[in-house]
Amino acid sequence: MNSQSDNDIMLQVRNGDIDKLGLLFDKYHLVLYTFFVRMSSSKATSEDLVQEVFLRMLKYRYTFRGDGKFTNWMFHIARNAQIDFLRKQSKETCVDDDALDTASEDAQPEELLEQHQNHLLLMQALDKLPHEKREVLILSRFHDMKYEDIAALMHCQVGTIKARVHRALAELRTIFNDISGENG
Amino acid sequence: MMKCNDVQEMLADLLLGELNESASAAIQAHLDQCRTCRAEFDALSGLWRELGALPEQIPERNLRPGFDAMLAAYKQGMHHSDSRATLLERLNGWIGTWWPGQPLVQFASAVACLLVGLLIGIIAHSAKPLSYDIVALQKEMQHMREVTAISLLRQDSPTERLHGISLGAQAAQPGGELLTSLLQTLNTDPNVNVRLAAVDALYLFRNHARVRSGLIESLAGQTSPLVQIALIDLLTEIREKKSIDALKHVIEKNNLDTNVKQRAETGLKQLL
Repeated sequence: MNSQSDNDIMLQVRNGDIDKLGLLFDKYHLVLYTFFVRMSSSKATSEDLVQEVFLRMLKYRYTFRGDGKFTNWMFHIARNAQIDFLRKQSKETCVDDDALDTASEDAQPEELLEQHQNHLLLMQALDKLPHEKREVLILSRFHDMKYEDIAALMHCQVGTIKARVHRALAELRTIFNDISGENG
Repeated sequence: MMKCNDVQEMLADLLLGELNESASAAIQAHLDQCRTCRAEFDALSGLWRELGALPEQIPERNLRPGFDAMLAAYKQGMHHSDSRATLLERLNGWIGTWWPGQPLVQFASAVACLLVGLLIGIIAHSAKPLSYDIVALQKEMQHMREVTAISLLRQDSPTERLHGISLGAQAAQPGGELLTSLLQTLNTDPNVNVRLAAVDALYLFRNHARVRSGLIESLAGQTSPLVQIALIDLLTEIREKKSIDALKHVIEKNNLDTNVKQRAETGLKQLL
């Protein structure tokens, strides 16, 4: 139902009512920003990339047909924007401490510290994964994308994505254990 | 009753909600009885939960004003392009009045344009010789990256070795030493995930004869079913006919994991 209404809004944008894009911006700019930060872009770059995605949505609005999920189309644009950025510039890696300043309100100080450290280690571990493995994990875990959606986005077989997610998770665990000092 | 390897291959699918009800139930039944798989599942689901608890990122500044400015500029641009369209139409009409109507004259004009273009290309090319400095610098950087990758592959920490594989995989034209190191990692690394990552990296260099032969040789020596399956899938996908004997040899092995055996038999059928 959500997707349908996103689709309706984007179809209105495509048909010339471009002010409606503001509704999609309000709804998705944080989602995109978080996606870019987790894909290891710096905060400043992620902010620029969010603007770039919405600019591309306007430029390429005629390519939106409305027959699939709006978010799949949006992430298709987001990936391309990031790929173009990485091509232009050497990759910046930045895991900021202050990126992890949100924690559950009822946690005790020691728990908060442990939670914060765990988050930091997990972000570092995620950052150490190869780009394509990090990407499938982020899309599946944070953006609820199914193997089929990711396969369509990346123009590859569902089996390839399934194997990639499996290995990405195993690799993330190895790295996380390693940097937490539990292994090797 | 499902086998442990089958179950462990599907744990990620279970976490992602990609399994149907009967497959989920079968795995849950196995997890209730098998402590090894239960421990594996608990570790992965813990990691999955931790991932889900990562906080949403908040930009340091409000992005809406920038968006509004972009939208306003875009609308203004659309307006301009409308007025430019009428200018273009006029220009089009003007050119149309003197453009030759005879197909032969049109053809001659096109050939003339092509020749002028070629001439400009030749002059521009001779005026600006290939930048050998840049080529040399690129080669040097590639060499340095390979040296770093090889050095990382020899580190004690699996994370460093994974990083080495990731760096090595970026080589456009990998040197012999890098390929040897990757194959060595595939054959001797104590960590199964590092070996699996090496399979992924070597897939990128599948056009090298030594990689193809190295992958075939490696299959015989691997003991982990996960790596065996990854290698069988890879050799089948690249349609490596020379791996037929190796696959037959694997199938004949005693105490072979049934899942590996099935994959090898399927692969063999595809290659024959």
